[in-house]
Formats: sequence, C-alpha cells, structure tokens
Amino acid sequence: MTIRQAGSLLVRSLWRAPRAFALSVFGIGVGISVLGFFLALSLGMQKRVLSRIFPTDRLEVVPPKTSVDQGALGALGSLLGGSRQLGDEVIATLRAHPDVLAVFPRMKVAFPVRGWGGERIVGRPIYTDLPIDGIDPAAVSEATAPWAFKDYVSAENPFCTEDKNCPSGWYCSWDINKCEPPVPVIVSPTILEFYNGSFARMYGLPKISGFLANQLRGMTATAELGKSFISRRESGKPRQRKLVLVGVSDRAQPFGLTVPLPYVKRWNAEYAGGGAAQEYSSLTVQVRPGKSVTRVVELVRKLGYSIEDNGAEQAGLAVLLMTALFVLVSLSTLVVATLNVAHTFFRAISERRHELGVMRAVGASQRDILILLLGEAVCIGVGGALSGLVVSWLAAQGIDFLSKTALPDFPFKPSSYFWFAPELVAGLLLFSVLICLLGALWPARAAAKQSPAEALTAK
Amino acid sequence: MPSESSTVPTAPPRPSDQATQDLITVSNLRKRFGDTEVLRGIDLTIQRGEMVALTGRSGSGKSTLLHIIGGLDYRQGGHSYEGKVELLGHDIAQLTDAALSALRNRHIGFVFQAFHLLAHLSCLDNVLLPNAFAASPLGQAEAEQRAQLALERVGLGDKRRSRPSELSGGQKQRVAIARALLFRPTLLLCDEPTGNLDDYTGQQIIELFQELHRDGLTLLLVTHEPRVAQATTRLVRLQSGRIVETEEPAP
Ligand SMILES: Nc1ncnc2c1ncn2[C@@H]1O[C@H](COP(=O)(O)OP(=O)(O)OP(=O)(O)O)[C@@H](O)[C@H]1O
Ligand SMILES: [Mg+2]
Repeated sequence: MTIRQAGSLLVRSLWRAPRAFALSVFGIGVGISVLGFFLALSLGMQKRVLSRIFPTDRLEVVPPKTSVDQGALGALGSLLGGSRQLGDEVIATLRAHPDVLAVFPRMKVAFPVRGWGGERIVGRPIYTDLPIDGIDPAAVSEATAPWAFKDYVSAENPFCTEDKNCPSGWYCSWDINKCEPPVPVIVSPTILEFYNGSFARMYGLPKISGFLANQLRGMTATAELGKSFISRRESGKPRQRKLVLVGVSDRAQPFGLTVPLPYVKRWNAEYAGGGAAQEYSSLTVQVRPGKSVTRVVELVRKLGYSIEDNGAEQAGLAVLLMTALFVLVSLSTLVVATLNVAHTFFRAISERRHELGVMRAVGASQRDILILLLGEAVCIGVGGALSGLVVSWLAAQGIDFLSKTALPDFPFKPSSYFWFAPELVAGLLLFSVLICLLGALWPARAAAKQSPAEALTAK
Repeated sequence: MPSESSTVPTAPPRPSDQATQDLITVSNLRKRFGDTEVLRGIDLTIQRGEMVALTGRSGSGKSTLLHIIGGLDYRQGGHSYEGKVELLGHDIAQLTDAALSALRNRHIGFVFQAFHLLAHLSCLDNVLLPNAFAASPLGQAEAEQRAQLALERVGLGDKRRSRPSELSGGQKQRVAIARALLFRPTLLLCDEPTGNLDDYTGQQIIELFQELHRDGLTLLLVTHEPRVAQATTRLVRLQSGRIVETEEPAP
C-alpha cells in the first residue's frame, strides 16, 4: 500500500465519523493543553523571571562563613593564620580554571558613608546612608554615559582650589586640591525593579521606564565619606565626593551603589586601615558560555571559600516542584485520554469488522490494516496536539493580557509568563502521537490478526 | 481473459506447468470449530474455465470451504485447517500473509451475500478499493478508467458517484461484482450472491456470471438456488462435511 493510497483511505475513514474523531481529538487535546500550559509556564518562569533574578552563569565567592564550611584543614588554617582572605592568589587560581571566563574582585566600603541627592526624580533631595561597593571596572560591559566607568583619579589631575579651576563637569576635591570628575556609579536592574514595583507605588512617585538614556543617566549626588546619619561612628576626616549615575548593570550590587574598585581601595586604606584595602569582600566568577558552575564550585570549596547563596537553587527547586505537580495532574488527564483512544479504537474496530474483512478479502495484508488503523491514531495524536497547543497558547495570551491590564506592577514582572519553546512544541506533538499510538496499538494489532473469514461473518 | 501476471511483478508466479489446468486442488481438507468437525476430508479439484456450483444444507460448511479456498481463514498463528489447499499452484499454507494477500488482490474476486460495500465510499471508490492494496497500484486515472469500465460491465456506469445506501440490493451486488472484477481476476468466489435478491434481479446476476464465464473467468458459486446451480457447468453437493455428489448437469 502506498502512502498516497493509505492517506486517501484514512482521510475518508476519519471523515465518515467526524464526531467520534473530534471526541478523541478533544480528549487528547485537553491533556496536551494542560500539559503544554504548565510546561510553557515553567519554562517562561525559568527564562523570563528566574534567570533575571538569579543569573546561572556566574557565582559569587565569599570568605568562609563558618569553620564547618572549610572542612578540617580550613579550620586548622584559620586557627593558625587567622581567617582566609580573598586576595590576589585566589583570583589567579580561579582564573586558571578552564571553565572560568573571568574573575572580578569586589570590595565593600568598610566605613560609614552618607549622601544626598535624587532631586531629579523625587523633587527634593533624599538623605540616606549609602551602601557602596567597588568592582573591577573590566566587569562592566554595558554602555555608560556621560562618564566611562573607570577610575579618574591620578597624579596628572590638575591642581585646584575651586571648581572654577577645573574642566567643565569636573569639580575640585578641596581636601587634596585636585580636579576630578564625579565618581561614576552604576546601579543594578534589581534596584530599579524594586523601585518601580513597590517604592514608586508606595510613595506615588513616577516610574522609571526606558529610563536611563534621558532621565537618570547623569544624575548626581553627594557622598560624605566617614559620616553616617544612623550611627555616631566616625572614622578619619570626613570629606565629600560627588557621584554621578552612569549606567545600569547587573554587575552592580543588588541594593546599593557600585563604583570602580580603585576608589574603594583608596578610601578603605584611608578610613579603615591598610588591611581593609587588601581584602576583597567577594569575587564575581563568570563561567564560560555553555559551561556549568558546578566544577568551579568544587574548586572554590576545595580552596576553602564559600559561595554566596543567592536563593537561586531554592527558587529553581520551587518552580520545579510546582511544575512536577502540574505535569502529574496533566499526565493523569492524558492517561485517561489514552484509555479513551484505546476504547474508541476497540469499539470502532468491532463496529468495522466487516469493513476490515472486506479489505482483507480484496488484498489488504495484516500490515496494511495495521498501517491504516495506526495512521488514524497518528491523525488523532496530531489533531489533539495541535488543538491542545492552540488552546494552551490562547490561555497563556489571556493570562499575559490580564497580568498586563489588571495586575499592579511588582518587581521583575515579566511581559509574558510563558515560553512555548520550539522543543516544547515538537516534544508535545511527538508525545501526543506516541500516546495515541500506544492506545491504538493493542486494538489495531488484534484487528489485523483476526481471521478475515471471521471478520466477514461476524454478526 | 488475458493474464495479468506480465504487468504485475509482485504477484506470485503462475504455476510453471501451464499444461495443468487445475486452479484449485483441495485434498483431504478437515476443519473443526471447537469440538465439531465441519469439514471431514474434502477432495475437490476445479479447473480453469469451470463454473462450479457448491450446494448443501444450511450449516453444511459451504461458506467455510469457500473461505478456506480463498485464503481468508487465516490468522497470525497460521491456517486453521488440516489437509492441503492449492490455489493457482501454490500451497496457501506455505505463503506469507503478504504473498497470500497479493494473490487475493490480483487473482481472486469475492462476492458475498451481504454485498459488503463500504458505506462511506462512493461506488467508484468501492470498486477502486483493491487498487489501494495493490503492491504496485495503478495510477489514479488508469484505475478510475478501469473501475468505470467494470461498473459499465455490470450496467451501472451512471452510478459512480452514488453511495451504496442510495442503491437497490441488486445494484449493490453488481457494484460488489465490479469491485471483484477490477483486476480481471482468474477466479471468482461467490457466497450466495443472489441470496438477498428477488427472482428477476437474481436472474440478471446469473446472466452476468454466465457472460463472465464465457469470457474465460473461473467461478465457484455457493448457492441454495436450483436455477443458479442449473446455470453452472458442474454441481458439487456438500453433506455432513463431505462431498457426496459431483455431477455434470444435463446440457
Ligand atoms: N466462527 C465459527 N465458530 C464456530 N462455529 C462456526 C463458525 N463458523 C461457522 N461455524 C459452524 O460451522 C458450520 C458450517 O458453517 P457455514 O457457515 O460454513 O455453513 P453454510 O453451509 O455456509 O451455511 P449457510 O447455507 O446457512 O450459509 C455451522 O454449523 C456453523 O455453525
Ligand atoms: Mg454460508
């Protein structure tokens, strides 16, 4: 039997009982739509939400948190030589690992800093203590403006006594009598998400959107080193520095300001002692594309350091559990649908015994009968998958629309919660066809095997 | 009737010995359903060009014999009879399912009392059905042309688009005959072809069979009706699972 001949018989066979066909397709379609919906939701959450909050291609190495973390040797080491520091040798070791693309040291400002600014969005200055850290400028690849994200302080900076003496945009740091531009600052998308998602709504402030190019970039603030609004603690002679926002990067710390590392090194040396300027607070390790962080994690543990727990594992696990639960639910729907297909086929085959007998009489082999019946199952599978996918896609569109129109903004609110990955669509199609074949296989084999004489004389 | 085998490479080869005219050879055929032995040692030979009537009381095993001869009493486990049945020189027990199906497809036509047309297909498509299962099917145009000829042969050239449900019993049976004739078979096996028809319509079918017989077709007709039996060249009577009488009817 040629494909053409089989196809033509198939189509007319299905067409004669459109309602039975539609019912089988419906059964499979319901299961596939539920399955497709939740799998697309899970994929969408991973891709559009979790991966934004928890990048998976990097990790944050921090000094050992507890002696347990370091193992026996580490504990001994810390007894003998004090706590392990994140210094330049660790960076060199990590950089030598084949899976590591880059290592960027970070350092927190180890003394109080307070600041004010932000008139441009809020209308009046905000006064707050500032959590500042520094990162290797090489870590930031995003475009920055109006200043590059780098250290502008060097011996060549012009001497000054007043701002007037300095090039435009620069100011005079009167404590060292040197001109310098404001310290470039980057902030993280997380901060903006939280500002937009909750802060702006709470205080009735305008949302920051499409923001940096026009609104925020170039916004300045003043930082006073060595002073705090909260604590009385003071260290060294307070001095003021201007800050300027130059960009948004997920290399910035999630809640706070991030400046080029050399500034923090200098400030820490001055305000918190020499040791503080040698010791990094953490290292951002970027793994090569396509590599997983696991082997790097092993190395870090072996070196006696810890990995900053960012909650990604737990969040991922939670999504996975939810997905597993819904997949179980939809799989049970599909088991029912498969049984329905099997039932439909058994019934159809007993109703069609004469027809199958006639086909055998005019020359159909057992294989031909099997092909015809399984072909019908494939059609049901394809029909079920397509209708199920269309339904789940429409449901996803509906939910995305509702979220857009009816839900208030919240941090990391995605434009779509779903991702119908091509692999997902192909997989569901294949799966749907497979379960239909599974349901039809037994009855179809029985039908093919029966004696044509018995089929023809059956009552 | 010209031989089809030259144009049908996958059909089983004709018997090498063209001298033998035996189309069907049944020797010591036994068949039981459970505890009851329905056929108890049948010996029967039908030659090319014969038109044989098979009669006997209801339940005597006529249909059973016809099905076995046509290779229809077959399932995965194999044939469920004892003895030997040769069809066109092939021991049918030795053929694979595919080969036996191809043999039916090309060389045997079946006509049943209950017509057995497929209700969801037009008359033309019913007649075309054997082509769907041919090892090397005819092209659509050629097949349709042949089917049309077959329909015209049985006098239903104008019913090609009709559904079986729109036809009378006699017309249905003629469509079934056209279907059996599509590949110009060697042998036509009919199980009470006139059983569901009135006298007049039955007579027309009988005349059609006689015409086909004159053209060279070999026929084996299971029948109750004396007039069908009279139209044949030989009468075989089945009783208690044995052939009790085989006679040439008076000319
Ligand atoms: N599938 C079957 N299972 C069990 N017994 C069967 C089966 N088919 C036929 N028989 C029995 O075999 C015997 C012969 O049946 P068969 O149909 O060959 O008779 P028949 O001569 O064609 O009768 P009729 O003239 O009524 O068509 C009957 O007694 C019948 O009950
Ligand atoms: Mg019978």
